[in-house]
Amino acid sequence: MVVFVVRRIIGMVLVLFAVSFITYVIFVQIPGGDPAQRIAGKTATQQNIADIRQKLGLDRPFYVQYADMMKSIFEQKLVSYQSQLNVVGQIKAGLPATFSLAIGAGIIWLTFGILVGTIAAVTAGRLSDRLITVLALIGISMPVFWLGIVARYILSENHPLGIFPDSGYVPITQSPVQWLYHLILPWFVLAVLFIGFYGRVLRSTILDTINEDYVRTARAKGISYRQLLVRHVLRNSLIPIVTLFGLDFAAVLGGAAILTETVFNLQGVGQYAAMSITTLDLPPIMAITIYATFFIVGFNFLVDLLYAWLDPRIRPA
Amino acid sequence: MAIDTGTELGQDSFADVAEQSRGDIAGRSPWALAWRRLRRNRVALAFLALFVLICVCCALAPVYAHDVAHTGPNDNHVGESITVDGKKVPIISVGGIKFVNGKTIFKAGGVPIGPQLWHAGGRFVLGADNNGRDIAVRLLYGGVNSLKIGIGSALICVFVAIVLSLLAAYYGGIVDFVITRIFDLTWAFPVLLLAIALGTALSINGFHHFGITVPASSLWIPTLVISYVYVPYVGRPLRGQLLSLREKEFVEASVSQGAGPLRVMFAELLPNVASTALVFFTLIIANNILTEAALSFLGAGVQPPNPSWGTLISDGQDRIATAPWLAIVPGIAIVLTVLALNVFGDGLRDALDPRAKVRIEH
Amino acid sequence: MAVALVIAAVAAAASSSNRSTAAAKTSKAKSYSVLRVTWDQPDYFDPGLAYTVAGWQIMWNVYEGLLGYKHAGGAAGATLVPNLATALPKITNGGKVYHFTVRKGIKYSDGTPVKASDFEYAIERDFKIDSPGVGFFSAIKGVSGPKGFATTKKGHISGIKTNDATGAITITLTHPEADFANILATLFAAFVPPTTPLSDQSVKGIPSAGPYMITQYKPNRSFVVERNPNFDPKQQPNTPRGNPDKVIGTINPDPTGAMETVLKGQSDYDMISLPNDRLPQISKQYAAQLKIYTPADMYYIFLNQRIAPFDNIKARQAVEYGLNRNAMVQFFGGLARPTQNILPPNYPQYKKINKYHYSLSKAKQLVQQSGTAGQKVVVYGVNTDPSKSVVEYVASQLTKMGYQASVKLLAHGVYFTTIGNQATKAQAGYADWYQDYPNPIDWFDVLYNGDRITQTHNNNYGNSDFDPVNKLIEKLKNSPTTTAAQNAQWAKVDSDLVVKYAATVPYINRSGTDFFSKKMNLSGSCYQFHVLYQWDFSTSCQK
Repeated sequence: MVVFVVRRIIGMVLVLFAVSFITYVIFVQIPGGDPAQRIAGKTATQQNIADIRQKLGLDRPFYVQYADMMKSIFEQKLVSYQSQLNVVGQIKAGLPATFSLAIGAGIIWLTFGILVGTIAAVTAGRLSDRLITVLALIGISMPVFWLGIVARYILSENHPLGIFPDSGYVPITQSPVQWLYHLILPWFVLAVLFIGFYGRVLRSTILDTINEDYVRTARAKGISYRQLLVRHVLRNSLIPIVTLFGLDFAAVLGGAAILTETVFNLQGVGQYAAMSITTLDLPPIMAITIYATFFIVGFNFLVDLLYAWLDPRIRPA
Repeated sequence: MAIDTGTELGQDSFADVAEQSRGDIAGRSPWALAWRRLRRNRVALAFLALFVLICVCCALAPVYAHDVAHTGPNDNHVGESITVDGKKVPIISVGGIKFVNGKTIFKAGGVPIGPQLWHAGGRFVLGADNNGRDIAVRLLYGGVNSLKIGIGSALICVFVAIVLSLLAAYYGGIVDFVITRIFDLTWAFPVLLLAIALGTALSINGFHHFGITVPASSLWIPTLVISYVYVPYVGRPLRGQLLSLREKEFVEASVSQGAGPLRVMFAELLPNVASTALVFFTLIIANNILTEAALSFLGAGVQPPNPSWGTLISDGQDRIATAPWLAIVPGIAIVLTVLALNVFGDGLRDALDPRAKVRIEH
Repeated sequence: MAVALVIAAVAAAASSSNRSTAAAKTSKAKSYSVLRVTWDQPDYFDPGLAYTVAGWQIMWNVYEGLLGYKHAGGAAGATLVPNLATALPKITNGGKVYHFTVRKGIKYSDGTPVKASDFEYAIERDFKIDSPGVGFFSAIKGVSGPKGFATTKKGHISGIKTNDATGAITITLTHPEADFANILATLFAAFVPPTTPLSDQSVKGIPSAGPYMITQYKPNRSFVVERNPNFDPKQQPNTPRGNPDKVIGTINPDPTGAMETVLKGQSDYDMISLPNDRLPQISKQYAAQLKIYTPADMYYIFLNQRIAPFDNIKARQAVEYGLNRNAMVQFFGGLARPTQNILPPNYPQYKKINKYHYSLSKAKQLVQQSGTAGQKVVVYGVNTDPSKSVVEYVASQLTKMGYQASVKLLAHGVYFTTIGNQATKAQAGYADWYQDYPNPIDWFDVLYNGDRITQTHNNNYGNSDFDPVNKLIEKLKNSPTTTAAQNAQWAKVDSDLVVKYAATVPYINRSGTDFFSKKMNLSGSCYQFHVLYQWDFSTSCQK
């Protein structure tokens, strides 16, 4: 077990290194992206630009620059080319919004996903099942940003029907009520897709499990249908859902809800990522990529660890 | 986003089909059996028809532009007027600033004309955008681009995934190790972040390395970026399936009869994962159309003034209060197309392999 | 300008003492406790580094230099006044030497006395922190050249002599510069205490000599501005004491979000122009709370005269005729006025040009005559509106005229350095200009002087290089006086560039909006829009 953990941790570090290096290479060669010119301003002299290049170390080989950048990320000293703000500080400032979005939406999609999937499976073939199947399909066929725009248009204050705030994020420390009020729309918009998806997965897993031998045996033993469903079928069917949830939730925490955050102007990590990429601002792009990859790889590791602990057969030697 | 397959998929499919079809249709090939099942699934076929219809409509974009709307997808009509039911209406509302007796008088302008349906003789059926361009024309041309990217990237993605997973499964060892690491690394990236990063970086100056030149505004950039980021999502499950097939007797038999690597890979291994790949292909088109829309929405996909459904929504977002149709209409086109593909993909999966669990997660 | 300026200054200084006490009385009557504002993200709150209106609009009430601008709306705002100097400069040696005396008894917000040597420290600090403003100071003796301060950053600038005992400051230039007084009025020349560190102090704050001080700044979130306890309007008569006791700023760069803060009553002022999408509704429903202002700006399409097809004058004239300037106003939601001049209308040197009337057929004809029809043209632009719509429109018009036009859109952060790099070979594209200070030199010399074209970081995007124009600009630039005859010559430069050479295509002067809550009183002198620093919060009033 210790060997397994150590190996995985070394693997994680290597992946983080590779991912950050690839990201660096993608952006470092872009013409016009010279940060010195950007910082120097419109009336700058050549001397001015040269000085800034030297100060930022841009005259050194690219691998040295890469190493410098990584070092300053971990020392929390890295500043953006665009705004001159501390990148780690900006990510930290975006965390409350991103975490609020992820946690709220996660609870919603998990609850509704399980509910919808179970109802569909239990009533398989009947009208409610078909309706759920159709709705779930529509749910997974909608571009999330489009759903967000339409929801904002119809349900936000500017529209006669609307009651929700148009966009923005209010910190929970400032006003818990406003925090909730501002997040309801983004939560549901982000959750719709996952509800549709989880519902479909759960439905088919439950139907598969019901046909398994041990369930048939249990049924033959005379356990009530409700008990059977809750104790045996649902419990086993939830394993893939929980796995999926772990990974999806990690991704959203890591800023994967770029589109939802952007459409609702939540100023979270995902929106910061999108903004930094469109302005070709390398320092935040690097920091966010590392941050996001850390979540993805980390949760992958946790899920594997959980599995290894649950099921000794797949525990590596 | 993640794509997953049940691990038990595939190796037993022939046995399953044989078992389920109970002799009465014995002697038919599995593909014929699948077709039989698919034909009975009216819903799936109806949605296939819808998808084909959407494709045909988009393919007719030049005809519509030329004969109905009388304008091209990128032609501006700024400062012009049209006749609606005999009345002259400016295509973009006219505003401006005037200074009268030291006072500033302002009238807001710039709001494009709304959907005219057939009141303007086929012009501006779905309204105009900021630049006075005909939205109906741009929607159809945008559909062409979105579909080209969606289908093209799905083709490339599934093809590359098949080749890589065949190589990995057949040769094993170091080849397998390298290919799996490439999959793992791409997998470890936040997928949308990677796609946006690549799309943005490449659309600045195009790609000019290794003797390959792709101009910055080319549709190949989003196509290749999208196909690249999803390769591991198809490749990993295929590799898993192929690895277990590699150990089967029929493969060993073929090898012992002197079959070369190519023959084993393409004649023995490939047919056994073909049905999985086909289902993946259908579902991944749907997925890639959504990804294209997301990339274009964030400016990392199709480059203006070229339309795509994603860029149209992006353009419309800034006009949502005064011209909501600009963002809503292309979104509906996406939902219909992706829904059609998802329903058909489900049907196809059920038909090809009733026990398969191929699925795509967003 | 400077000689006329000296005369004006004497008059101003003479009358300022009694007028300022009156002003102090009225402003005291109008003072109120808190002003809540919604602000765009400033680049810096460090006077040595800031180069955006979002920073300057706050800081011109915080940091003071030898010279500044009059706190007044309209054209009067362009008047230079002595702030920390006792009077406008005495200029000798044919415009090469400037003499100032620093006012006595003034203290920074932390209690440190203001000294003449602080000026030298501030300028030298600009060089040491790689300020974007150092280009303005290259005419000072001892700055340029291989051994100049700009390169070595060691010792002192030989052209600046200060005497803390007498308060005298003498600045020597290598050649006369007509806009040097304007340069000294920029925030880059604002006084800072000699203990100010040689790095960005936006967050920590620098003690100020103006009526206010920035007491808190959280980047991307908020800032707080409070009264400077050491500010005495009697000692600094050209700076009003200011009405609000405290300004609380929320930073929200999203135009819609910023607007909502005012609509919801969370803020009293939205500095960001309203989004085009909401203009129709807001301008009707909240007309009384909305002010339309017109800063000194100019939006233009540059045409690169070094490469085909726009090295051909007929091709350039075709673009002048082929763009419908009146219609292009709509890309700005109607919040603009068409123009064909380089200079904005509020300049005394402005003489309206009315040469090009939109005609696509004439444009097509000119393209045919030029022999450039069918050539490929890539039009560059920023990837957000209004630039995006403008560039798409220009490309579409070029296509109609007979070119094969396409569009290339880039992020704002990299756009201007990309088109300012000769290696990009941008044929045409979107550009705009907002003045750094109210002087035609800031327009013609920076944007169209062929002698100032550079390989990278070029501001003359079209590479306009016409010898007679260059010579005239050089001549006007080095003359330390401003006369009616010279104004006419500037107008000639304007018209030569646009009419004679069709070197550039100015199409609109853009206006903006100031959106206020119902609390704010916008009548009379309570709403002052300054030509350079925009809405002046210090003179604002509440009902």
